[in-house]
Amino acid sequence: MLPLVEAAGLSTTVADFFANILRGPGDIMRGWMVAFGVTGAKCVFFAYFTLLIIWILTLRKEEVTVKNEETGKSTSLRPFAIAALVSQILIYYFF
Amino acid sequence: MALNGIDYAVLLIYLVCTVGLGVYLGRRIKTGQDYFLAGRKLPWWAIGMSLVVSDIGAIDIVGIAGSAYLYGIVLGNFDWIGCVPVMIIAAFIFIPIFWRANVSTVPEWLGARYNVGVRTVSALIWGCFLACNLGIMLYATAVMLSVLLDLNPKFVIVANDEAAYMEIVQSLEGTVTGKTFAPPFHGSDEAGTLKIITEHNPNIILFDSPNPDFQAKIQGLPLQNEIPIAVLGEDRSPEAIDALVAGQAREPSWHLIYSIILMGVIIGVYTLFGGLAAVVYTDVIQCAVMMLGCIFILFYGIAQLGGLEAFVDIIQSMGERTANHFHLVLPADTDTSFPWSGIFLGLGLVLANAYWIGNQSIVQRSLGARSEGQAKASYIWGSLLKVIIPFTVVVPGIIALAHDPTITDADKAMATLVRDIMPPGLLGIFFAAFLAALMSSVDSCLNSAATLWTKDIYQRFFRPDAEDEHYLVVGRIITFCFIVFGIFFAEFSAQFDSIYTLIQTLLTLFQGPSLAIIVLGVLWKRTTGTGAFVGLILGMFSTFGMLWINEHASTPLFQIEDPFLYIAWWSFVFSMFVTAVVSLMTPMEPEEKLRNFVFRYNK
Repeated sequence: MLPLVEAAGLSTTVADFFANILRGPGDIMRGWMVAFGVTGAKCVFFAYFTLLIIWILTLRKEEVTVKNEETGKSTSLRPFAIAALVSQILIYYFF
Repeated sequence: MALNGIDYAVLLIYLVCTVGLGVYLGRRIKTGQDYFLAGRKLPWWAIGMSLVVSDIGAIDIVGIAGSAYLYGIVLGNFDWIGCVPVMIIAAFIFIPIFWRANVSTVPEWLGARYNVGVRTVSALIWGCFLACNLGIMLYATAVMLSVLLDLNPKFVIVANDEAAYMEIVQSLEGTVTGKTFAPPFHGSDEAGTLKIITEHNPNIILFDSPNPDFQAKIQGLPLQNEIPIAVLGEDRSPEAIDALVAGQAREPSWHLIYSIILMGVIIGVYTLFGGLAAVVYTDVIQCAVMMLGCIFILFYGIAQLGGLEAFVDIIQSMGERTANHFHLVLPADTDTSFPWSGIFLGLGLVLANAYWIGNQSIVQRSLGARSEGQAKASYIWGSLLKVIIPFTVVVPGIIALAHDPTITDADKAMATLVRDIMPPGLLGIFFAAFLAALMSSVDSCLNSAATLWTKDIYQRFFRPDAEDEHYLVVGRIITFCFIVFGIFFAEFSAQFDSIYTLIQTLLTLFQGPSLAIIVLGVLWKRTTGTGAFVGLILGMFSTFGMLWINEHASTPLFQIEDPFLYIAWWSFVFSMFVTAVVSLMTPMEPEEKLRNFVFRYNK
């Protein structure tokens, strides 16, 4: 289909038709994103990391525990996952 | 850069250990499962290190450091928001479900959850992508080798003034000549130029305008080889330079293809014999060597610039060019390809998830874990390692800028930094570190491509009931075929401007739709096979459509130069929507396709 459109020399016309339809809503959304600014954007990042930490805290014990088959000892992965996410908050705070 | 005897000895030891370990592990392999999943005996720490080092490969060392040279620390997003949170989500939701399904590939899981159509389409897409990716990685590896060992042919530009010289250099950017030749030397004065020519023995000398007297002096030099001289004249376009150099330059003693073949053979040998176990355990060595080497480059590079404060001052003194070099979050209307909205939506929510959850070459090693718990732990361990990676890969790209702001091809920034600052004698260690990073990605890609074509294409359609030993033989034959294919495709990769952009564009084509059907399949029991199939196909069409409209419309659809992050996001959203709508219009999947495939379905 697309090669036929290109062969007929209509590619720009067809592309412009679809681009004009999509550009309207796209520009509105882009306007929102620009209005957020860098500070607002950083808040979005922090909110994402914080929500993940909360989610990890709510996971069931069996979902975050690893059992060593040889020693029978269980280790929770929760603190390690939270440490990784806290490091992200700090990095995005400083940069 | 000239390696000395100790450097070559270090390199040789590293290569012999890597290949030897792979071949040794290969002697224990008896079945297809041993080859493709390491007999499901891999420990979490090895998988975690393997995950990290496989992700930091040729693309990162060459591409990310090069992009960091141009755009700064914003490239760190690819390892931070692009890895850490996603690996944690994958560890607790997706990886346990994949592991419990006892499959070898992600498309095989899709087949079990949905139907053979989804499995086949996904397998063909991933199979083709991994095969092409192999070639791109081999090419990037060869570029690194050529730059580090100073193997590229050279040319000298003799220009009347600095402006004319810069005009010619800028024309070279993005041309085949610019990619394959070493950075040009500038002959600003006759005595200096004659000295450069005598020392470097270039393959061609380009004059910006005729200069018969000086040309005669060059021809009178006592040189080993006769050096062709070409005069550019009025036409200084990239095409004119390419044609002139291709037609007249003296044949180089080392071609890029030699490096490609050399790396292909070395990596191919241990991957061919040792399968996934060889890939993972050699990755452990490679991870340790690479991290030590890169951390040394980081600290030594900053020390060479006069310390951290001096380094920051140098970058900040470059004015507008480096205004955002220490900012991770850039405005949505930035001129770069990394606006925060694209980073968060396209990378953080789509491409990163697709990579860590749906990429066969990544997920495969966790499928070979000893237990479900160890598979989870490997991803958490990997996420912790990922926190420090940008400091070792991205920041050196910025150090390269502070060290030399005149590098014309950003993909060569890291290699140039290492070549220029590393003290003699230590070079072998850093060279081994680079090789480790490069090889780890290529071997993963090679092994995954072979697994996918063996399990999802050959076994599914040609010999579904053969002995497991048969698939071991087939897997090795396919591995060999991919080594040969990768070498040929590597030559093709040289035509593109930025390796990293190329790979991201290829990934964008199907990452969004591919992720959409995995996420819905795991999190929503109502998702059906028909819905996933239609969502996958239409999602890919939407990606092609957006790329086509963006390229052909009189005003581009997206307002940034390279909108792969936005395209990934919108193709993901579109696929989710289509999959959900079609699923609701079709009957629900039977119980056996939901139990153990949907998160918390039985709990």
